[in-house]
Amino acid sequence: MRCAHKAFLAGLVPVLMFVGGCQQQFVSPYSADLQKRATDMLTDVSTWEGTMRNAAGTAAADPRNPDVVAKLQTWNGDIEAMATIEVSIDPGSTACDKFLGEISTAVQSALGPTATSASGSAPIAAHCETLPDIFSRMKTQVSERMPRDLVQQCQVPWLSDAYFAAMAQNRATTGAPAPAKPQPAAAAAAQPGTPTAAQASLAKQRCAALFDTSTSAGGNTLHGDLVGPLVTELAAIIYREGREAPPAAK
Amino acid sequence: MPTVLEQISTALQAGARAGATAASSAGRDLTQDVENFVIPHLQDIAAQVASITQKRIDGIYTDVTAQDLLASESDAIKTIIETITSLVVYEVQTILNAIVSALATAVNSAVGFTLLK
Repeated sequence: MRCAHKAFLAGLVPVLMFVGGCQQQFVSPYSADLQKRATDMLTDVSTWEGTMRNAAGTAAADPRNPDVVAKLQTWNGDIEAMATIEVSIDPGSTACDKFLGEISTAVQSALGPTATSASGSAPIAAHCETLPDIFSRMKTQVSERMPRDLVQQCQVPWLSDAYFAAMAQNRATTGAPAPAKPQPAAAAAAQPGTPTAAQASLAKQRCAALFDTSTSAGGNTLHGDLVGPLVTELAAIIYREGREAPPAAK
Repeated sequence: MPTVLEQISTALQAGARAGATAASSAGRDLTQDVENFVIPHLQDIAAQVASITQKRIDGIYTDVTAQDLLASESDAIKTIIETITSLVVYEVQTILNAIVSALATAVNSAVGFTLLK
């Protein structure tokens, strides 16, 4: 404990060295644009969850559906746009990061090698400014995990890839000259199959499970398993920006 | 007429008091952050982890889905902790800048021009 205390004081030195006459910026300043984008995306995510819950087990919730693909691409773009804002206002690596590093080392030392190796992960926060890591994780969720989970849970077996390819092509070529439209043979291959009642019921159950809401112990309505973490991350950004906002913006 | 030493000494004391006041206020804010933001969201995550686990046990989720969903819940926990961490740093920044500002004002007043910005 005494060693940890000494490490804490050693870490404080670089921070105190900055006290020399200029204002310090350890975390990104308030951004109304970032706050608005996160709020808009949160609304969109919540709306989409309701849509998918209602459409579970049908072509509308299938990950091959162009609307589903487009929605995930839109969110990917939203996250990139927010990350771009963050890059433009990020104070960069500071003495505060060194201070945090000293704290992290002291904590890991205090916990001992067993505890730290058991966690098997990097320190929770390596930088005083944490938004870049948050955006990176959100991007992984939207571009990798969500598409994979939708394939696992919401892809209906009685509809072929050709069915969705034709759907996408029909939308892309609406109003286009005839040669650009699907040929009859392709259209025939794209005909939907008919599920049994048991198949339809199972497909609905497996897909709806991702979007089912529930009520927390505190009486709050909880989001479904698929978008819950994303909602939490967006709420964290909104909360943080709200705390940093000047009084006039609150 | 106070000496330069007296002026700066007085300013530093005032800065320290301003910082202490800011720290006290920030302490209350951070307590509210934990109560209003951290705890409710951790409760939500706990409920969602339980839901994911139960659905895997019931055979509704595949292993791949369950692992992905739990990884995302883990990410959400990191985000919550990092958010409160950045708010603590933000409050430290506010306190530090209050003291630095008081010092700059005193020095600039003593020398008669803007030496420290």
